[in-house]
Amino acid sequence: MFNSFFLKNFISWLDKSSFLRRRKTRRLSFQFLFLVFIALIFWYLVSKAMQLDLGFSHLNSRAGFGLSHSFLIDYTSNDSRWQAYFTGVVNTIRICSLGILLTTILGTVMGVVRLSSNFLISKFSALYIEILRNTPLLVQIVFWQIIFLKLPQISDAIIVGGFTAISNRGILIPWIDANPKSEIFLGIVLIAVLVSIISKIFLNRKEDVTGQKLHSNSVSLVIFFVISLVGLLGTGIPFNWDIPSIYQNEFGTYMQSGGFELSPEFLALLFALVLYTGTFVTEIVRGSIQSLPKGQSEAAQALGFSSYQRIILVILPQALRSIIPPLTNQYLNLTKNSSLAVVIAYPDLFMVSRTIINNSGHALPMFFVILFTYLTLSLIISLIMNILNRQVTKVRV
Amino acid sequence: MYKKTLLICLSLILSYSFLIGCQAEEETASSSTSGSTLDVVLERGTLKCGVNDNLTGFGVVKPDGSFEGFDIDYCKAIAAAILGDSGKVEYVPLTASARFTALGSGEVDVLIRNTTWTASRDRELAQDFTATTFYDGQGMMVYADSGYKTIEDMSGATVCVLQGTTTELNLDDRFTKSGIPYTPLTFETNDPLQAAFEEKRCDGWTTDKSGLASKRAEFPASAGGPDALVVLAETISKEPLGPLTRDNDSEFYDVVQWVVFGMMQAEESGITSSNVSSMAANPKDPGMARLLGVGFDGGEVQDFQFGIPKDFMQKVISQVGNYGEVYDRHLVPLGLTREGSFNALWTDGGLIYAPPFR
Amino acid sequence: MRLIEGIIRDGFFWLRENLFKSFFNSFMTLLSVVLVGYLFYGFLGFLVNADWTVVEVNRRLLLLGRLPIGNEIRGWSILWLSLSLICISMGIWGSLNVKDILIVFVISLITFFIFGTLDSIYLILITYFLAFIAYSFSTYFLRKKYLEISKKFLIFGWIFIIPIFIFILLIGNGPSPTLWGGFLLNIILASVAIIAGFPLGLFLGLGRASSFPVIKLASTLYIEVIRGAPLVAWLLLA
Repeated sequence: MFNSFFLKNFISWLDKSSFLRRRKTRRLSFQFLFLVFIALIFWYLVSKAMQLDLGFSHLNSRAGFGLSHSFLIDYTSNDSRWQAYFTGVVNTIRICSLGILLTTILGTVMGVVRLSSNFLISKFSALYIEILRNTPLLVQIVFWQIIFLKLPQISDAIIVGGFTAISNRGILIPWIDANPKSEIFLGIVLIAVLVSIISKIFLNRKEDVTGQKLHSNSVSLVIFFVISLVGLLGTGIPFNWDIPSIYQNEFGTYMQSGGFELSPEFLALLFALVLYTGTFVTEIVRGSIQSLPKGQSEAAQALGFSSYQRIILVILPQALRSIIPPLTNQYLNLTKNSSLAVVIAYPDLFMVSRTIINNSGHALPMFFVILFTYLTLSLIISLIMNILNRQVTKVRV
Repeated sequence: MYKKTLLICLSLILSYSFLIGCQAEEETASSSTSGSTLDVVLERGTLKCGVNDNLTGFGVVKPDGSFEGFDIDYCKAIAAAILGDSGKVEYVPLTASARFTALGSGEVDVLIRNTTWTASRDRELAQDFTATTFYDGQGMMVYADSGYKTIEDMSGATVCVLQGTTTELNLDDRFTKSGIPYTPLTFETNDPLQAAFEEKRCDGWTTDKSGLASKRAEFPASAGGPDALVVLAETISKEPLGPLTRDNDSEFYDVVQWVVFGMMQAEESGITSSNVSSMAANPKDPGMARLLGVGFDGGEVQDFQFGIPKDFMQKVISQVGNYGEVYDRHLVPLGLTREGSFNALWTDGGLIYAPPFR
Repeated sequence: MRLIEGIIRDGFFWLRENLFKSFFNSFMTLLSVVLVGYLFYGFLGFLVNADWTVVEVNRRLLLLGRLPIGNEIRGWSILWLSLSLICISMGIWGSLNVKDILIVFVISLITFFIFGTLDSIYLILITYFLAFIAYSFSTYFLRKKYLEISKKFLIFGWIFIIPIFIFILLIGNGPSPTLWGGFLLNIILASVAIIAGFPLGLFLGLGRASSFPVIKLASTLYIEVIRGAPLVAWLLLA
């Protein structure tokens, strides 16, 4: 407002020649002034930043600290700080991908439930939303950590022989161990996927042309399973079961081995993030379902669709177009909120960078790395969701 | 219409900038990292001390908002020396991971928060360590019924540790040097760490032995009480704790350092808070006179040119006490006795040794 | 007799329509009853068995942080000021029905029960009284006669509430800002963020939609960069 006031006076003063009267000149001069203003601020910030050290070389030195979770990467304290950071990034991606998946499912279910005709469960959903949306995420994370710590201590762990082991050090589930032959099997599975997709497209096209019912979905699925099965048997079932167990080593320390470990930190963070973001997704889904014309739902009922069919075939596909943009926002929020893992000892990328900053003292370069990483993650998610969005909004309504 | 909006905007900007300006005046004095911190403190009239608010014995905040502890008393001593009043301190509680940036940015004048003196901290952080007030070592606390006697017994164990501390790095050095596999669980603050330890999520808790003593003393009975825990005999590392100042700040650095030395010398000379005034009136020897900033036998008063009043040690000892009094007040209740430890006077075989006041 | 029959029939009809419409529906009802019951029972158990002395002892710390003793009146006056502003605003712009009032009343009772002490009972009563007076005054008087002027005054009030808060806290040798803490600090931070964030957001949004390419670029860059990093990262940088 201040700018336009100044500008008005400036313009009326300049308003002597027709050149300066032109709209283009006005616009250019206004933008130029703005640019100068921004440049001044920028210059001030940069000069302040230059006083601090900006080298990245300290990230090549030995890390010297261990991490409690390292997934896919074999990390030891002898590796460089970059390695530590990448382990953190992998941990973050792990939690974000699982979180996004579960949040979508939970949010959709709860959103539909919220609009159910069943009085009790719709109120239940409303209660869930109100309580979990209005309490801070940090509080919820700590709450879930305490809950998971209340699981039995490892000396009294619940062991379902050969299947799972539950204690406050983690929940172990059976997993498959890969041996060299399994790479061949993976290749065969990929081929199976490709063939089934191609067959589905082919059958769909044929169906469009000839009008015959060709059941492209079932046929392609069958093809996929047949090829995978052949591959499985052909390579002689190249998997070993990794069965979880708890034993005591020679010093009496309880050790967990085998299986896939879901640590309490991971679970607590996951639960808190999913439940918290799920409330927002619920509201988005509910809002977009309610924005659909009522006629859709009524027509579906009139045509004899069951409730389930009505939701899956009529309501949700149409609601998707208004769900996806705010949903993208929530996914980004979830990704950024995962940085709160530092409170409960889950080594996500933010926590690792905090440790590096503390050990080396150079905060600014590390901050740029963090910023860059989060921006990349956000951009990837936005990109995927934009593609989905384009698919869904193909038809103009 | 324009005038009205303009008026509103102007008044808004004025009122906000007035408030921010008030704050900025206060802040520029303290946030300037160039220029002597001593001048800044004298001008401001209070000492900003970075402290711990969650370590019994060293720095805790009481329900009424006041602070108490071993490190807190050194803050008070420095304030008494520079400003004449040990109450003129502004305590800034800091987490382990934020403490160095707080000192470096000028948020606090001095950092007295059970911080270990290491080479990398001295150089990489551009901060200086003054006199060591407490010679500590890193230890490991385990449950008594686990049967661990040495670090080697803890092969495969999970250990809880605080983030951003030398403890984290020492732990790793100790275990990997001997090839012992372990899993570290790094927390940001002590409270979730203690919760995890109480539920036996981790087998061991490592931090400075003084910290372990205080945490063990207040271990809740519902989880077994202090007797359920035992601190292993081995000292994993040297942890000399002391106050820190910023680099290139010699005037303030010297003041802080010599206040600490003065308190140690006072205990060695037998000056306590109860007899300091009589000692100042009648010093027993020239050394005592120099320490207390008075003349001996009617002679000249020695001025060390610290930039603070010559009798600063009198104020320090009368308002806070000597080294032994401060130690007994806060650390003896935790079970950290001085006899035979590194924290006894050098005359008793320890490492508490003050250079001469001459 | 007819009346009771009618009520029972209506009741059953409601039950059938809302809770037991189909097999699946009935199953869900039973499941949620069991779930809610279990959670509720557990929550009650926690309420009763938990150690509440921690809250009792640290009451003042939780609410006011390290504000020196004797400064409580500043906290109370901030509470009263914001409360009256909220109530008057609600009277002018909104409408309360009984359900809303009841919810607010119950929650405030619980809060005062947890955080209040017996000697502050008068202050608590003043708070309720003030809220009631402000709301009724605005609904039954201002709304009828002075609608436009009150709206302008209220907007002024909301914009200037933050300098007034800070003024109340600093006037007369007030405690230095590093001592502000507890819930008081939360209120101040939230108000500043919401009130100061609104014009900033407005400018940014307009800038992003503007036809000047320079301004559009600058706004977009700012928005995307700030949105890219999590809040804790920005706190770290600051």
